[in-house]
This record gives sequence, C-alpha cells and structure tokens, in this order.
Amino acid sequence: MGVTCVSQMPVAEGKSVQQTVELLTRKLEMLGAEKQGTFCVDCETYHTAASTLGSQGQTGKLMYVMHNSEYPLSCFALFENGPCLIADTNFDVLMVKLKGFFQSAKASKIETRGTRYQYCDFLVKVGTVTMGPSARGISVEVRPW
Amino acid sequence: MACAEFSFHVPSLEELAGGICGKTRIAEVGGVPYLLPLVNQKKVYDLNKIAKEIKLPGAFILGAGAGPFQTLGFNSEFMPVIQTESEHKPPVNGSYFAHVNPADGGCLLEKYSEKCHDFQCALLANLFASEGQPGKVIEVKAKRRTGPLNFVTCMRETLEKHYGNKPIGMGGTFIIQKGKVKSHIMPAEFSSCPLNSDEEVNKWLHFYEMKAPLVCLPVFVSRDPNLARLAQRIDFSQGSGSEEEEAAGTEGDAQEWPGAGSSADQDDEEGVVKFQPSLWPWDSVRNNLRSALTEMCVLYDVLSIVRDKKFMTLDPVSQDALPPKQNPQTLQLISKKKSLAGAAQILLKGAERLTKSVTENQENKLQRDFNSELLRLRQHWKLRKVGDKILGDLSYRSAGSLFPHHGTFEVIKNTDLDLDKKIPEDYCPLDVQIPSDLEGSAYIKVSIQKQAPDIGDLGTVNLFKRPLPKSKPGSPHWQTKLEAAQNVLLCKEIFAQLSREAVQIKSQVPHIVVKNQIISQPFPSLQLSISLCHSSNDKKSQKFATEKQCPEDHLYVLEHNLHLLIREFHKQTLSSIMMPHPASAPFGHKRMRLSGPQAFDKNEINSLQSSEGLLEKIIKQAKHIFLRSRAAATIDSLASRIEDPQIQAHWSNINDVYESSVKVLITSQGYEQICKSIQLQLNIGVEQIRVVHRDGRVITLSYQEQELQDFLLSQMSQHQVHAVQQLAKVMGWQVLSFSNHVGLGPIESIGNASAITVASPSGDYAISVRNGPESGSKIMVQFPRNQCKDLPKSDVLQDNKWSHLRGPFKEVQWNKMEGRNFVYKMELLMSALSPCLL
Repeated sequence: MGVTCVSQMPVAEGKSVQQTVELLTRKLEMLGAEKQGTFCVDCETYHTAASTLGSQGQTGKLMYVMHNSEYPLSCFALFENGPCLIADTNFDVLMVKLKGFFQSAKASKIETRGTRYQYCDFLVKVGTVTMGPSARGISVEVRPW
Repeated sequence: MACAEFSFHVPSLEELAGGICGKTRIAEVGGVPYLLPLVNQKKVYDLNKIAKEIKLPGAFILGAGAGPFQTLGFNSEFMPVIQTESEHKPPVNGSYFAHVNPADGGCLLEKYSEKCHDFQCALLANLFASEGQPGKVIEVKAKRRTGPLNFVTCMRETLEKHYGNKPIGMGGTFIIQKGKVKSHIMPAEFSSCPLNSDEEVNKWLHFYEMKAPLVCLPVFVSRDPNLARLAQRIDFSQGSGSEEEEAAGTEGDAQEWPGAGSSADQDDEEGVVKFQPSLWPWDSVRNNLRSALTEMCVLYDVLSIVRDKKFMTLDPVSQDALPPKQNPQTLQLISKKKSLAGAAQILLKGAERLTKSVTENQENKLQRDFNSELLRLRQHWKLRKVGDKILGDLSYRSAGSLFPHHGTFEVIKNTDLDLDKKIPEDYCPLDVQIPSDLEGSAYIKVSIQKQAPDIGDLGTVNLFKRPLPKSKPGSPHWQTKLEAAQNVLLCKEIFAQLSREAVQIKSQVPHIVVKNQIISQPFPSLQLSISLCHSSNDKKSQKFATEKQCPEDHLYVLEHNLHLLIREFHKQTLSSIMMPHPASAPFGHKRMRLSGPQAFDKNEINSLQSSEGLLEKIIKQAKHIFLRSRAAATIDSLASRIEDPQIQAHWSNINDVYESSVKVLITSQGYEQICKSIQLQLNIGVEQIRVVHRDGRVITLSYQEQELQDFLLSQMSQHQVHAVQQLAKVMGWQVLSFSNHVGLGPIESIGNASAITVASPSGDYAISVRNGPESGSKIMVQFPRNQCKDLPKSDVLQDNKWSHLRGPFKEVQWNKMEGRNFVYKMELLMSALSPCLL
C-alpha cells in the first residue's frame, strides 16, 4: 500500500540536465540511500487510423502504450481520459498486428531512465526524461518500499 | 515244328501305299464267338464292303484275321494288306494267308492273290484302315524281351495307362529282325467238338517256332480288356531282309538277340513300326452322352406312360411295418447318443488341439529362443535398430531428464552355447551389453555426522557394498542388469545435479565438493555428507565389503527423497502442465501467466519463481530430520532419567518433509486426571522448534539441544506446583498463594522456581511448596502456635485465641517422606495434617 509520487524536478540554472541529475544522486547518497539498480519507463503514442474514422468526422484518439521495468512482464495501454489496460508483453505484438487501425508516431516515443535508491522505508527513483536523442527533463518518483 | 523258308518276293508296303496315315480307323469285324466254341460258318465278309461300311471307301487296310474258308476251302490265318476299291484306283490285294500244310503239317505262308482274286475274309478280323498317306507315326524299337508280357501287350498296356478311360486304338506294322518267335496257326479244319477252355483251344491250335525276319501287322485297342485278347491279334508274314529295319521282340522263348541293330540306310522312312491312334478324342464323351440321352428318353417315355395310367401304374413298394416292440423313445435315445457322441468328438478334438498348443507354448517358453526373448525385452525397454545392431535406451531422457549421458545398451545374441553340454537352466539366448561406466551398482549415501575429524579425510568415504536388491523371481538376468545400470545412471545424475548446485549456490558456509562427496554444514557442529557410492562387480571390491562403516548414519529416507526429487524435476521439464487459457497465452506456470496482466513487480515475480535446487531441498530435509531426531532423543533421555513427573510424547503420524509435530504431556503417575495442566505441542521445523503451551503461550526454541531440555525441565518443575494446586482443590485445601515464577530464593540457572502455599480446611496448617528445576522442591509446613513448644511467651498476645493462629514454618524432610512420587507424598502430607473428625 502507499502512494507513489512522481514529480518533475526543475533543472538547476546554468546546469545541464545531466549535472542536475548527478547533484540529486549525490544528495541521496549522502543521505544514506542505497543504490539498488536502474529503472526505465517509456511511452509510445498511437493515433487511430484515418480509415477508421467514421463519416461523422470523429477526431482521432490517442493511445499511449507504456512499459515499466518495475513490472517487467506487463504492458500498460491507456487513452487520455479513458480506460487503462494492463496486459502481457504480447500486447506489443498485438499492436503490430493492428497496424491498420493504429499508427504509431515513432517520433513521439518518450522515456525516462535512471537509478533506484532505497532510503529507509522509501524507494526513490531519479530519472532523465528523454525524447529521441535529447534530454528534456528530470523525473523523481518516490514510493514506499 | 520248323517253318519252311520262304523266298518269294513280297511287295513291300510302300509299293501298295505311301503310308498309313489319313482318316485312320480301326474296324473290328466278327469276333471269337464266331469261332469258339463252335464255328459259325455263315459269317463271311468282304473287305471292300467293310471299307465302305467304315465310311472310308478306298481305304488301305492292314490287319489280322481268319482267312476266307468259303473261297479257299479251308481255315487259315489271314493277313490282309489291301488297297480297297475306290473311284480312282482298282483294288489291290497284297494279303497273305498262313495255313497248315496238309502234306507235312508245317506252316505254310502264301500270297492270297495267287490263289484267289476276291477280297473276302471270314469269322473275325482286326483291321486298321487309312487313306494310305504318308504322315506322323510312332516308332517303337525293342531289343530284348524282359518280362512275361508280349510286345503288343506291352504297347497296349502302355496306351491304357496313358489314356486311362479313353479307349485308343493303334495299328501298324513292325518287323522282327533277329531272333525266334513262337506263334500259332489255326488248323485247316474246324473243330467239330466245342472248344470251351483255353487248353482245348491250345490243343487244337498248331504252334510253330518262326525265325526272323518277320513282318507283323498288329492292331489293338487300349481299353476293353474283354476284347483285348480278341482285338490284339498279330498275324505274321515273313519277308526278306531288305525290308524295313528295326527289330521287335514278341512272345516266345527266343532270347538271342544280338545287341547291334541293322543299318538303317535303305529306306527314307525310318519309322518302321507305325502306330496311329485311330479314334478321335471326343468319342468317349459322345458315347457317354448318347447313352445318357438314351436312358433319359427311356425314363421320359416311362413317365409319360405312367402319367396316363392306362397301361402302367406306379405302385409303392410295401415296407415291413416296424416291430411294435421297438419304442420311438429308444430310437430317440439312440439318435441322441449318436449326436452327443458326434459333438463330444468335436470337443475332444478341440481339447486335444488346445492341450497340444499349450504344451508347445510351454516348451517354447522353456526353449526361449532369441526372438521371444527380444519380444519380452521390448515390453520393458525401448529398442531401435541401427544398421544391423539393436540398441536400447536406458536413460531417463524420455522421462524428462537433461543428463547428457547417452545411456544406450546393445542387445547381442548369446552364441557361446555348447550344444553338446546340457543347456544351463539360466541360459538366455539374449544378452545385453551396458556401457562400461554404468556397470556395477550405485547408491547415494546421505549421512549426518558430528564435526568432521580432518580435512584430509574428506573424499575417502568407504564404500560399503550394499547387497544388490533381490530381483523378482522369474525376471530374466538382463532385466536385473538393465535396472542396475539405470539406477547407476540416475545416481550419477543426482550427484551431478547436487554438485553443480553446491558450486553455484551461495551459502553462509560454502559447500565442499570433493571427488564423490559433497559436504555441507547445516548446523554449526554438524556435517552433512552426500556421496555417490558406485561399486563395480569385480571380485576385488568384495573384499572391502566386509568392512562395515557404520551404516546406521546412512539416512535412507533422504536417499529416497533424492530419487523422488530428481524424478519430480524430470516431470517438470516434460512440461506436463495445464494448457493455458486462452490458447494463445504463453506456456508456463499459471500465476506467471497472470503476472503480466496483474502487473506483478519484481518481488512478487521472484517469489513466484523461487525454485530451490536439489541441494537446498535436501539440506533442509536433513536439517529437519536431524532436529526431529534430536528432539526425540532429548525427550526420551529426560523420560528415562526423571521418573517424577512423567513425560510422555505423542508423535503425530502425518508429517511433512519440513515439519513434524509432537505433543508432550507431563503427568504424575496415578494423578493423570487431576494434574494435566502442562501440555505442550512442539512443532519441529527446519531450524527451530515452536512450542505452544496449553495456556496459550508460544515459545520459539532454536535448534540447540540444551534449550529444549532446559525448557522441559522448567516445565516439569512447574508441573509439580500445579499438581499441588490441583490436589488442594481435590483435598479441600485452600490456595493461599501461587506463583509460576517466584522471585524469591536462590536463582535457578534453568528457568524459574515456582511456589504455592495452601492452607488446610480447618486453617490450622499450611503447606508451602517451592519447586525449582535445579534446586528441587522445598516444602514447609506451618503449624498452629499452640503446637510449637519453643515459642516465647509474649506480653502482647495474652489471649488464648492467638494460639490458634498458625505460627512458624518447619521444613519437611521430603526425601524421607513416604510415597512414590511428589503428588502422592503431598497427598499424604495433606491428609496427615487434616485431623479426622470423630
């Protein structure tokens, strides 16, 4: 039980994303957290294909497919305000089969990678958010261990 | 009688006709009945007419018969050689006749055409008629007579044998080139007396010996022996040597025939003796059909006449009535008997056959040839043929094993059998050859020892040879051999798996793998050794078998469990799990399949996948077994050492490999019903013992032996005090104070002392008991003040009533107290201190 908190850490002024991440990790280590490994969370977007749009001219929906290394055997699919699906990793294969209905926007794949720290009763993950080759920001996730 | 020599020229057959073929037929004219017993002089024939009668006018006729006495005036033998009258040719008579010379009684052969010019014959004749064309004939050569039958009879019998029922006729001519022949000629006068027997006939006939060359004209039919004698007549005519070649032997005694034949260069036609079948093959069939038709017509006529009932009626033939005495029941009985006998016969036959086959089977079993043994082998083991070798598989690969041993054995024929000597009883025509590293027998020895004496002693486990398990009676020797080899293979696989895990798995105290032994330390002062004991079947190892190396510490249960575990492992690899739902889901454990949709995190996945290796499992089991045995030993030693109170252990029958339970009761003998307050349930796990007290306390003890012992001792001491409390209730004494853990008095090293104080019903006396595990029991009795003599009189307490109060305590010498146990003694004390009310 418990609550997981994900927040965005602002980049320190005059420093790059990487440097800020290093700063944070150093602080954590000084606090006494133990490094426990790495983590990765990524997200892909899919548009509904134009052919499936009805004559009424519905706007295409966006679907997000996410993976989390904490749940290595699962796949999360969700619409923005809609339902969320937790599935097997075979879901990715299914998406390939559904190419006709959903088109992936490859350019918009976003992911966050970083290290895990265990601090007392908490698990702290500090990650660098990247989209393509460029780093966009820092994400920090805290949850009870 | 000698024959005269003849020298007149005889026209050869070729002069008269080209051959004897073409529409051949045999004609039998007249018969012996016209001659015997008395002559019938009316029977005369003309040969031209005969030729017309046989529907071959102009036929060339050969044969033998009786001469025409009507024209000649006397009887003679006649040899017709006639070209009969036809449209194109005039008849030519080249016949001869032989008769008895009236002058000297010898035989006289003359040409008929010189005497008469007719074409007549009489009485009887066997004629062979043909167109006279050249054609295929049968040539018969004979050199010498070898048996009783004459030449013509031999030929006739040959024909009969060959053609069987079909009568075949033959006619032709042959020449006797060399030798002598005995034959007969009819006299000129007919016999006036009837000739009824052969002897009379022979007397009447004149017999002569004739010298070669002789030309003979035989005509005979293969069948109808009645006519054989008549049909087979040979009449001879003597001719010059320049005629046809080839000798033939006939009846008579003349035996000298020179071996060499005469030259055959004169005639083109070499086949002298020309015989021809004269009847066409369907003749017999036609005759049969004709006779059948005749009979059918007769029957038809009879039936039609009968139907009219005018001239002929059918009358049933009267049958004799059955004699009245014969009952129909006896008939039935007889008929039933017969039918039963028939049925019984069939059954007996069948039974015979069955017994025969059964005995054969038994014999076959005893014989045990290679193929039947191979069939038996195939029922137990998998075999396959590779080239000309038969290989088998004794590994567990098909059962799910991943051990890389090939495990193939070869089936060979046992040919070293000395057939001269008696076949030994256990002879088997089939032998199996197992891989050399699987020979002998093996087992896994699991033992727990106290701390190993020396590092140097590791790996030198003495293999004491376990006696081979007895094979089932009647199982062939190859079965035991293969089973032993398979066991060796399984033991090797188990040990390989264990050693692999021992090296890979990290534990606090690392496992040691030395040669064929794995050593680990489950508990600090304990050593678990798992070793693979593989002993071959050599005689050398037999010597070592006598040294028995404490077989008591070999844990058979763990060895068995190892086998079970490896088999379970095999089954897992075979993936005999339930099919996933839906069918497209991946294979694997059901909960693993759900881990995706249920978003299991790493911890949960790890917990799902926690699979202990073989070594870990077996170590855990060993620990448990050790703990359990030690707990039992502790309880037993306490029970034997301490008589009061008694300790009883009731072990549960149903145990787990990792958990056992025992119920421990501490009672006093004789007072089980009232003193049952100490009841402990011990759950012995892998590393600790959990004790559940009757009053609800749960205590966890470690694997240390001492802890359990101390605990039990403390419980026993508490029991005594509890017993006093119960006893007080029963006796009516009042409990003044009670404490399980008394803080006064000397400190016990084991547990705590307990104390109780009880007062008598009247209140005069009080008993105070302090019991400790180490210090034992101390009992003090409080007497009323008026019973104590050495109490100083006090100025404060002057009333007498104060003397009824209880005063000082006095200790009881408990060991001198009567009573077999503590509670009994207590009871006695209590009863002694309660005065009887009179």
